[in-house]
Amino acid sequence: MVGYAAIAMDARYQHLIQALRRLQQHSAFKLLPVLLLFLLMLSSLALLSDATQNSARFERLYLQLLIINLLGALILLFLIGRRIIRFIKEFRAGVIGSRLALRLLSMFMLVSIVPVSAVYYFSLQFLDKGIDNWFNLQIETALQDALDLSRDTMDLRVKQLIKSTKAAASSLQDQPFTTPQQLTNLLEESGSQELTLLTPNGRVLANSTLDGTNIIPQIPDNAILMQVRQGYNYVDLEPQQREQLTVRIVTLIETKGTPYESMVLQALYPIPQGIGELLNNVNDAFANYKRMVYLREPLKNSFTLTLSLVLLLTLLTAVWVALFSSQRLVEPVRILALGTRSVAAGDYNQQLPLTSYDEFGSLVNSFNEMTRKIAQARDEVARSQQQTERERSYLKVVLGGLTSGVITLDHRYRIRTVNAATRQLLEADFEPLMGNSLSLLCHHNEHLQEFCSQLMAQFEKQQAKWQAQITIFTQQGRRILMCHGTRLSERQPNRSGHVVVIDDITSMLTAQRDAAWSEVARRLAHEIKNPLTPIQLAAERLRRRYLDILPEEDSQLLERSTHTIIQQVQAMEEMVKAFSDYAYTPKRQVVEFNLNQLIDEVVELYRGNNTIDFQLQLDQQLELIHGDKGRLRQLLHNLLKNAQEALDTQPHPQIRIISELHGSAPSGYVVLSVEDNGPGIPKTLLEQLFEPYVTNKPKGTGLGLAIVKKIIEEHGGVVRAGNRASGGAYINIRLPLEYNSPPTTLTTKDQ
Amino acid sequence: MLRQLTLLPLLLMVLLSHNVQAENFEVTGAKVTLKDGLYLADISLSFPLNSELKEALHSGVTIPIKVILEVYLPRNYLLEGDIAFLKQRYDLDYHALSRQYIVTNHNSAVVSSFSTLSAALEELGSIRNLPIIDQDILEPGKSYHLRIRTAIDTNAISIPLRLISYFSGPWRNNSEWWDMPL
Repeated sequence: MVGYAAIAMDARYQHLIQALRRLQQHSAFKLLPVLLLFLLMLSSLALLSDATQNSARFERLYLQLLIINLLGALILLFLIGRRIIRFIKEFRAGVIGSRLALRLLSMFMLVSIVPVSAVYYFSLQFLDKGIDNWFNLQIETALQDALDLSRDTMDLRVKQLIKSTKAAASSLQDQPFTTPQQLTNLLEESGSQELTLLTPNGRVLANSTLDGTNIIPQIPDNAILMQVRQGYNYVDLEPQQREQLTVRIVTLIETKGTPYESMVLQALYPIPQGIGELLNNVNDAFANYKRMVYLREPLKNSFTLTLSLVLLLTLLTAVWVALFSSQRLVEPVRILALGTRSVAAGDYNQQLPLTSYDEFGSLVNSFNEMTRKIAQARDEVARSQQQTERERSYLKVVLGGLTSGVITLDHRYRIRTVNAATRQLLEADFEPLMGNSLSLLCHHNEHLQEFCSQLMAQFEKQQAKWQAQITIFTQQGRRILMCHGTRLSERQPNRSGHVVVIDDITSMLTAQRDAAWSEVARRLAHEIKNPLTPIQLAAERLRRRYLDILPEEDSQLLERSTHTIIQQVQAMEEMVKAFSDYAYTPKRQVVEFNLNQLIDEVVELYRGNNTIDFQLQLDQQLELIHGDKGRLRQLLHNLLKNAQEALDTQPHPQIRIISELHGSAPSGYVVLSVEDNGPGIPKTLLEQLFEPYVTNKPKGTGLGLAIVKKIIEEHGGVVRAGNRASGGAYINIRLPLEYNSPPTTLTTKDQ
Repeated sequence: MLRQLTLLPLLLMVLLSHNVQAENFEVTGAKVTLKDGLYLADISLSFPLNSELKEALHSGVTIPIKVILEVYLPRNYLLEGDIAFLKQRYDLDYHALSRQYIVTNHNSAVVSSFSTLSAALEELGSIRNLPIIDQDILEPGKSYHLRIRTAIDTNAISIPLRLISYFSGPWRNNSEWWDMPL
């Protein structure tokens, strides 16, 4: 329970602390200390003003009030200085809103200082003239006259009193001893309030008084006694307590027959109350006026000081309020500007604090709503982008896995995307070309010029879908590409891009052709070869039976005819055999052998009865390769025979055989070239040179190079043919060092 | 007007200026006697009024005078132990009608009038048999001291003159301490 109570208490404290923080953040809380200070100073100024006007209440606190006001002014000055320093720093640092705050501050100060200063100036003038107006020569003269008149009046009265006193003194001259009773009698006769008989030294001999509250005689001071001893009467009007005026008359009594040579008689005569009040009034008025005249300048200074303090307080408070107000007014603008900057910098999560519920507050609310919506839209876009990116990645993976090449272009034929298969098919590095025009691809890759020009031709047709078969020549040899183009749909038709799907149909076409030719060979063997033997046998039988029995002329005809039949049948048999050889794929016997040695052996067979100059440039680093030695021997025979037949009309026939080793097993290969200096290959045949029954020789079957190509493909190699720049043809074979059967090789059944 | 406008700075300047006093009040003598277990003091004071104070007096301005008496126990450190503090307050006025100088003793409420200023100042400067402290209050064996000072009581000066009196020489009239063993 204690634990729960502590937690609850903590929560309450937290709540209280948060409430206090909120209160502290509130501007009214910041204003409160200064407001209290202002009220304190205002109150002390009011008291000071009261004290300046001779108020008994706060007269004693004058200095303290003055110090409080000066301290308050100093505190205000400190607060203002601190705000001004902060203000200057912000202005120099170019803080948002500082210029606006400066403008507001200037306006506030102008509005407050100018009127207050004007009021102060005119107040001082009124004060100066107002105090001066208190004093007037006529009043002063009148007061002086009143005072003189009072004195004269009193002088007349005093003369009578002197007579009475002297009469009393005379009655005491011959008295050896004076009793209080005698003095009391004299008191009544003379009309005095108090009679005192003293020795010349001031010792009281007898006293009588009518004032029952004061029985102690008021003894004259030494100066009076000295004056009296010298024979001069002392007569004076004396103010007593409670503004009572008393006439004191002191006279010397020459005595006879007494123990003293002389005595002193003092008589006190109170001035009647009515006259006394009048005299006091005259005296007070005169004294006040004199005092005011004397205090004129100090009084002005005191009022000026109070007024100046009021002005100082007002001005300082006005400046502080101007500073506070300008900064407070600018604060929402500053917050909004900062928020705008944050949004401009991409921070859409910015939520501004609501500092007021006025128009600025509404603006802040609108801003917060705007940023919230922008943030939502941004998140939505980000999600869409992520989704798109995922789909793109997925598509990329799919495209990467395709054996077909896919290339996309924008409406300006700039390459947007290319998959891996395209790179392999076109044998081009697309990385530096991404985003560039298709023409740049052709510029960097000469073998793709035909490809680019055909694509451009298709694009310019503006067809939604198209397809075209394009042949390119790569390092891997001739490639026949089937391109399917599709126009991408866009809102603006003239801004639509293109996607081109590329399929390498070389192998498929070759296989189709091979299959077709194999079928032809099979049919030839089946349909033609079978009837040949009976034809030949029938011709031989005719010859044997009728050659000897027919007349000479007829027998010669028979001889020629049967010979022709037999010869043509044999020729047809050879042709059929050749087709059969082409269609026949023997069981492969892969062995490791020295290709250079095989070349030497085969060439040696052609050197015997031949005028052809054989030149061998064999790479001695080439040692062993894997392959079907028999098939490769046949390949060499076909090539050499082909070259030899091409050089029939050449006066200086020349065949050059070159082998070059590139790399090492298992990825290495050997390049074997057979070059002649014959008439070369006609351009019309160049594209289909390795297809069956393509030849320019009158006796050729057209299967030699087709078989060469077939053997090379069986070994996973590439064969190319062309014409040399210096004349003659060349056959270029790239043969892998490791036996590598191609997956697309089409085989036929053995005949 | 300009002079008044510059009053505040001038006051501050006066605040910082050093006060030079030509004629100071003075305690000229003092004597303490023990009578019936009570210490009584006879004090002689001198109040030389300069022309400015005389002018103020004859213009109806009251001159408040105070006499301070302190009985203390001297110690070695700064804080001395005050045993008794006594303040006598007098007012010196001029009565224009009667041309009398009036001395008012605020402690005894006795008002005395004098025809001459010197007689009034003589009365002011002669304090007789002023009770200071009861003997029983003091601890026997300890050497107590009495110190006496007189001055114009600036806190009682008329308000318009008071600010000036804080800084002005004629009104800021303090005597030196008269110190004597009790």
